[in-house]
Amino acid sequence: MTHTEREATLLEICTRALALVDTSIYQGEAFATHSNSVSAELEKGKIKSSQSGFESGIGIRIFKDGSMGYAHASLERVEFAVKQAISASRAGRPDKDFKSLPPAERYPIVSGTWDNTIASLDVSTVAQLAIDVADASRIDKRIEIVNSGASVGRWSDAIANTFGVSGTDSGTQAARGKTAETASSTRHRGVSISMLIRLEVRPERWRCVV
Amino acid sequence: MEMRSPMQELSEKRDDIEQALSTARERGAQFADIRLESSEGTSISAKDGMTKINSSNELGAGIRAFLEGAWGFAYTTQVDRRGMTDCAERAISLAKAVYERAEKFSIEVSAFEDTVKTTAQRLPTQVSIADKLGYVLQQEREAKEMDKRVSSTEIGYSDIVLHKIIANSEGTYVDETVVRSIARAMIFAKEGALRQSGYKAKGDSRGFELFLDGADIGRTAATQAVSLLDAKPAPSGQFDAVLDPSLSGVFAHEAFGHAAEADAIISGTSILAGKLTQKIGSEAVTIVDDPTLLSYGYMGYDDEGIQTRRKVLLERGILQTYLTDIETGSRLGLGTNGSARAQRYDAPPIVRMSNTFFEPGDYAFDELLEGFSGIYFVGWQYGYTTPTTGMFTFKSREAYAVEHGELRDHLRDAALSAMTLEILHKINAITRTLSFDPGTCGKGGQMTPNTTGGAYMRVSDVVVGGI
Repeated sequence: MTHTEREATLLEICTRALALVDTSIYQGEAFATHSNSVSAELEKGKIKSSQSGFESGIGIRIFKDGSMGYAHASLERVEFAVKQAISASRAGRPDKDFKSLPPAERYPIVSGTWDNTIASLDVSTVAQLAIDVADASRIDKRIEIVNSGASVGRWSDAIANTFGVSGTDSGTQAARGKTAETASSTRHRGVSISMLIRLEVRPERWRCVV
Repeated sequence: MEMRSPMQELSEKRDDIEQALSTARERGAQFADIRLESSEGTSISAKDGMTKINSSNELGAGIRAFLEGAWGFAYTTQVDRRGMTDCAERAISLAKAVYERAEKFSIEVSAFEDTVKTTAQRLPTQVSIADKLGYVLQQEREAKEMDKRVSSTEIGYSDIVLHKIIANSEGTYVDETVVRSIARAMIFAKEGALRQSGYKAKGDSRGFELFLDGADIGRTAATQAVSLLDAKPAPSGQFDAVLDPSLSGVFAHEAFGHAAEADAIISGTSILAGKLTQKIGSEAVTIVDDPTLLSYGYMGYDDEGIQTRRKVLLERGILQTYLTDIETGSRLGLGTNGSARAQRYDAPPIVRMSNTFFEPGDYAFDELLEGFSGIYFVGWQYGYTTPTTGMFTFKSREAYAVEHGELRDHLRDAALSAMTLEILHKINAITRTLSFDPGTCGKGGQMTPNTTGGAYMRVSDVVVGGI
């Protein structure tokens, strides 16, 4: 599924959820999200963790006379989330500062947040990137790499409310970082360097120099 | 159409679970396990009249694949056959990718097959949000009505019904339902420029019946906050001390328990490394971690599918064992003692405590105070521990100066500092009472429900000051 197809699916789920809300009594908002992530972390050159996530879910906010109820659930349990949020909005106390959920407006479209290269990286490649980050610092025996790691993710979101707000968003992210230390002759750590690089370039250009 | 319960829903996935585990094995994993979790929970807070109510209903699975010391961990919210099989493939792909950079070791795992049901009488899922909120608002009202100097109230409530299946490639298939409920009251009182707080929590592995006995946490916390407005600042210096079960429990958990976690032993960050079978405390001291108690940290099986058991970590001053999971138990040659916990399906299990406390001794509380002069510490507010040295500082909620066994001045802002391996030798008396406090422990970015507690204990010569 492409990210635009994913956005459409999520928006359809939000719309379906809000259809369960009686708009003569309640205001409602649905936010659905889907994400994939991979990360690997090394400590002193040895692997500490490697992890991959694939998750989705929906959050529902329902307002009744200024009283807000919230529920979140797996996408298979949308109906539950709506019912629970309605129950909570009926039970809670009103927020005297609450006016209303926002009306539908034109929101600016932000482009350039999706990178197909990052989105298509597999788990093995990301793990190898974390290892490469650690190895790239072995330019001097006095440098000890304490921590290094790499993480890559992609997500798609959709949001809708009972006033017609309807929007989607997708993006990719990638980061790698390390903490390097040098040791003095007395073995006290003298310098600590931490780097976190937010990647905006192609993976083949990822090189790291301490 | 008949609604299926989450328990039924998960139980019907056994074939899918076994398929995922087979996939990991076929792709090269020496061992694989899965935690499939379905949870339903509510959290409510009332702060100075404002309420927030959140509900959740989640479903997800976490899968680990092991290959000669390398673990790959993957999780998914798509818990059908395809989703879990894909998850297993990602886990073994990661293990293979990092295999060359892993410490090499093998693991041994015993297999369990069991179903563990909750003993909760009123499942939170069968109690309306209005009833739960009613309890919270009652606590808020009682706290406010306690004294006009009560200036701010925060009441929190949360519950969860967690159904999980833990299975592995060695044949483990454990189906367990755990219920947890907790309520907390943090109350502030103010007089002039002086502001004091009181705290009380109640929680364990029961359902809503826990709150039907008039558990008045709001009033109790308010009483503490108001009474501290008249308390004197604590003195500083070296004193003998008596710690109530809240503070002795925090000591058992923070200063000792974390040091007894086997991952800290392996990473070289624990003061207890290399001290097994050594005498590191007085004869009076026995510290236990017992997940089988139906307290807030209860679990019948740990998150690696190992049946839990009571662990005597320190017995009459002698260090008996560490808290271990499959990896650390294998690496240290101790085996696992069922101490692996994960915050949720989306986090890998790590070594954790459960219900950690000082075993009761022989003294009555009056006997403990007989002839005692020093500081009597009550409750825990905050503090810190330096794991590599064992130095800790804990601030109590309140304290009393004691002279020849008589409670004198009520004290505020009292803190005690000590070194873990020194203070264990200075504990000279423990009462035969036992009580627990529920709490939440953070480690490695994961929060888990825990209980701390124990008995009242008397300690000689500790540093007292204010923080």
